[in-house]
Amino acid sequence: MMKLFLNPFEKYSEKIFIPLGLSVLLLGSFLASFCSANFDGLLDLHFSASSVSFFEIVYQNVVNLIIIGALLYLAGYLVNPKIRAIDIVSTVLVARIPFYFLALFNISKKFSFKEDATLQEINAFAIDNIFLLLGFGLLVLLIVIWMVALLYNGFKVATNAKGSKPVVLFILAIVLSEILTKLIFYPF
Amino acid sequence: MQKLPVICPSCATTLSVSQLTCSHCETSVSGNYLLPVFLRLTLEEQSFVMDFIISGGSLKEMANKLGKSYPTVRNLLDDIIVKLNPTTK
Repeated sequence: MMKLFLNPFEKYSEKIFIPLGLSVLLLGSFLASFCSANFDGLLDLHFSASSVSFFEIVYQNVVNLIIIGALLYLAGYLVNPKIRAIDIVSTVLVARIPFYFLALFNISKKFSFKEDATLQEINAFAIDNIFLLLGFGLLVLLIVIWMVALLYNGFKVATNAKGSKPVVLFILAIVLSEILTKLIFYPF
Repeated sequence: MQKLPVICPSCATTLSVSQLTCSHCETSVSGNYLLPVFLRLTLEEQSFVMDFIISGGSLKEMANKLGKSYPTVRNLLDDIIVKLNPTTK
């Protein structure tokens, strides 16, 4: 069961992953729009004061998917030129599924601060909700670890990766994706 | 049936065949014959190769039969190819 959650790529194929990934992308974007959440980076989730349009969230998710997909494909090609693009598409679509549901944490808009909120107001909120924030932090950490584990396992199956070279290329792809997505969403 | 040993337990060199016996009349043939390359594979790998041949070389059919994804089955095949022909690594 644990293997199914961490590495479904060994058993199931793109015929399941692509429709599932696309459906949850749309559902996750709807939830994020409803909960004022932004996915403005590969590993980013920020709650905003104003509502965010569904199409804006879809755009953010699609950019994140294209960047990580392209870089993982490139890294995978350097490991094994026989890599199939469809396997990387499946991997990135499935790996982000847990991340979308983090938006639900702001369903009551508790984490949405007004843009003119003072530091004192934010500090007071943090002190009053310290256990909630710690719980959320822990949950985010677990979900990010799960997402990266899914990305790596999908990458490993797609490339038949062995040894340290694929690990280094995978880490490079993740770091570069985070930088590139930030540059796209927040250009100089 | 016991698994045929193919690696020397003393020095890890691939073993060769020195004697073959007819189970019917017990005639023995002695010599020094190379083991078929197929025997370097584990029993699971031999079974995989047999199934692959029987399925007409279709990885999709193999994936369905084994209940695994296409890239997983392709990886199994790639690992066998490397094992049989290490220069392809």
